[in-house]
Amino acid sequence: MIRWVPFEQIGIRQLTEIAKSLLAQPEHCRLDKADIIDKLEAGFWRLFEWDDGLFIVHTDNGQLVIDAMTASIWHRSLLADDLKRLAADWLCDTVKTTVFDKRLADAIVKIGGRIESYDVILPVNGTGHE
Amino acid sequence: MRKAYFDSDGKCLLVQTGMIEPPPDAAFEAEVGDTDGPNTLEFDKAKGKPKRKERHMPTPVPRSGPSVKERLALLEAQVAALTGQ
Repeated sequence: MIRWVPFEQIGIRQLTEIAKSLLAQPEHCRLDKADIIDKLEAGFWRLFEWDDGLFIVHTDNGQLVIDAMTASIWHRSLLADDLKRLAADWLCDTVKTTVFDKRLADAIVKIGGRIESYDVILPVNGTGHE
Repeated sequence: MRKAYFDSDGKCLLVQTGMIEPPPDAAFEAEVGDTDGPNTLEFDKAKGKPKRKERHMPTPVPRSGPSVKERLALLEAQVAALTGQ
């Protein structure tokens, strides 16, 4: 079961998880660190955590947007239930995420969502020749 | 700031803007739009004018943990540590 962490209670453990999530994102679309802190402080974004990870979410026109997520032990059904509950609490009918994690996509599918697009990042050799 | 003054029966005596002395027969005052309810006014019999009774202020809850800037610095340090910079 996830629990909401108010900004005042965000400490080194949560910041370490946020850092991990940032580094899991491709550099071109990586969230700005100051922006994350500002939005959490202002309450526009919210941080939820479970025993071994967290996710940061906000709502945007009926969409539940997942901005960051980490998890070491994966419980797809638990995450799916939590997502469903959050989306219902905030009257969201869509889950949107820029978190590049297939496990999260699986959880979204489990609660009846569909995957509309994937970004695929390929390493490119700078010389163009190999 | 607009304030309303009421007598002891709850009748509105005056609504005014700015710091003006309350009417002498006012028993309560309230800021317009304030959802905390009216404050009680105590009469200062020596002066014949009501005096304001201080509202009981809630005890501020101290913010725990690091500040916003410190949190940002910690986050940057964590990212740097994880990338080995």
